[in-house]
Amino acid sequence: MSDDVVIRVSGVGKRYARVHEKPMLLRDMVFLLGAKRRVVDELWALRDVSFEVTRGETFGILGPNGSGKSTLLSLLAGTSFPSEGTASTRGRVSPLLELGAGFSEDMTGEENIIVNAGLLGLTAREAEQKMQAVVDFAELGHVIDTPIRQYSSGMKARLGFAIAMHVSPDVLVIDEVLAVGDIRFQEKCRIEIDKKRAQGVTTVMVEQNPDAIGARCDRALWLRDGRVQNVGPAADVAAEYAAAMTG
Amino acid sequence: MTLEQPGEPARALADSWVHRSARGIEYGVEQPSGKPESALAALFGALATTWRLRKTLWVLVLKEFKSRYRAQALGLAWSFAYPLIMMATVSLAFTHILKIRIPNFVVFYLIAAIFWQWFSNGTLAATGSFVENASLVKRTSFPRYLLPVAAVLANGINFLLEWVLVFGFYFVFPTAYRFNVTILALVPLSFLELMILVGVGLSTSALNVRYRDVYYIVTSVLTFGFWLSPLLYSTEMAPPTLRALLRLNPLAGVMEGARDVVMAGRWPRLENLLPAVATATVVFLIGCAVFRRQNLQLSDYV
Repeated sequence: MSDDVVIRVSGVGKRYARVHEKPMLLRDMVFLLGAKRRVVDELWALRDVSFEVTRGETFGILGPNGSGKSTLLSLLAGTSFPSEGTASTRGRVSPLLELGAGFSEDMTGEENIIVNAGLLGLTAREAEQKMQAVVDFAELGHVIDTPIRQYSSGMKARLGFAIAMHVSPDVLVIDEVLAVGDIRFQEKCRIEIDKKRAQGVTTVMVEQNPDAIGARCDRALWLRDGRVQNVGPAADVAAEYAAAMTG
Repeated sequence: MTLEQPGEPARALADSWVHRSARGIEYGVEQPSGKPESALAALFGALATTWRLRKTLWVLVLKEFKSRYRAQALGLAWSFAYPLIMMATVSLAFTHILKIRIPNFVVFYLIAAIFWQWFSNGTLAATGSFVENASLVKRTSFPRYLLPVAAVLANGINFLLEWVLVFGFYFVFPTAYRFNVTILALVPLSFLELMILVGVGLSTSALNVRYRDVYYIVTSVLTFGFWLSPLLYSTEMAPPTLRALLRLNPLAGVMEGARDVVMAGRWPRLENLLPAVATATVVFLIGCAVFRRQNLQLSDYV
C-alpha cells in the first residue's frame, strides 16, 4: 500500500453486448412480464486486467488493434465503467481520448474553452483565468472569437490539447491523439507532457509504435485479446512486443 | 435513487480516490469499501456540482438555444408565431364553431399553452440530448445530466419570452386579467414545471440511448398529454372522479394555478397545487432513479 499509487486497476473486465440493433422498450417491458428474454451475444473487451501506476510515472499501453487499449483508457478516464473488478484513480484525471471531443461547431473557440474546461472540472472563473494561456498555447490568437467550424483539424487538435494541459490535471490519459498536429506542434506537446511529468503529473498513453513507448515511458503494459500479456519496464516490454509483432 | 456520475472530475478532489466498479462509483480513501455512493449523497452531490458548473451549464443552454434558431427559417419569431397561430386555430374551433362559453377563452388557452409548449418541446429536446451529443458522452467524463437539463432550460428561455405574449394580450382583452401580488406565484409554478421536466427528461434521455423506440413513445404520449392536460378546458368542468384523476397530472396543477394567478388575481388553490407538488416530486425522483440506473452504461450504448 504505497502512498504514491495514483491508478490501481484490479481484476478489471469489460463486457459489451454485441447487439445489431437497439432493443425496443415496449417489447422489453412485455418480456419482463414473463415472455422469452432476448439472448445477448457478449464480448469481453478486457478480462482480468490488474496493474498499478505511481505518481509521476509515464505509463504506456501497447497492443494491436482490437486488443482493448481504448477500452482500458475509457475506464481510466471515467467515461465508462468496468463490468467486473475495480478501476481506481486518484485526483483530477484529464482525458484526451479524441482531440476536440465535445467541441460544438457553432460556438466560438472561447465558448468552447469554457464548456470544455467546465466539463473537465474547472469553474468558470478558473477557466477565464486560464483563457489567455490556453489561447497562447494553442496559437489561435485572433481566431478565438470565430466559430470552431471554421478551424482546421490541426487548430481544433491544438485547442483540445491546450485545454487538457491547462486544467491542472493529476493524471493525463492520452489515446494516440498526438499524431494529429504537425511535427512542430507534436514536439511542443511532448515538451509540455515532459514538463507536467516533472511536476509530478502521471501520464497514461496508448501508442501503436513500440519505439515511442520504449523511449518515452517508464513502464508499459502489453494487451493481447483483452488480457495482460506483459507489464514491466517500458524498454523491455516494447522490445518484446516489437519482436512478437514482426517475428 | 438519484444522480451519479461516471468519473465526474468536478468532484474528484485533489487527493481523493475515485473507485469505479460495476456497482457504481465511490469517492474517498484509497481502499474502496465496496459500497457505492448512496442515492441521497449522489443527489446532493449532483445538485452541488450543477451549481458549481452553472456557467458551463449556461453556455450549454445558449448553445442549444442558438443552434435551434439557426436551424429554423423564421428564427426566434417562430417561437411567438406558433402559439399565436395555434391560439387563432383553437379559438376558431372552440369559440366560433363549438361555441364554448369559457370567458376570455383566448387568454385562458394561451396561459396553459405556453406551459404546455415548454413541456412538450423541452421533453423532446431532452430526449435526444445524449444521442445528439454522442461524442461528448463517449469521449469526455463530465456530469452528463447537464445535457438534458440544458435542453430543458434552453426551452425555458422561450417559455419566459412567451410571457410577453400573454401580457401583451392585456391590451386586447383587459377584462381577462386581474393583476395582483399573487403574480409572484408564477415563479414557484415555473419551478414546479422545471422539476417535472427535469424528471421526465432524465428518464427519457437515458432510455433513448438504450432503446430505439423511446422517441416514438414520447411523441405519442405528448399527443395524448395535450388532451389530458387542461389546455382547452378546466379541471373543474370534469365530473368529480375524473377530476381527481386529471389532477394526478402535475401539469394540471401548474396550468390551473397560473390561470388563477393571472386571470383571477388569487393564489393557486391547494386542491390543484398539492397533487401537482406530490406527483412532480415523484416524477423527479423516478427520473433520477432511471438515470442513475442507466448512467453506468450510457457511453457503451450511445
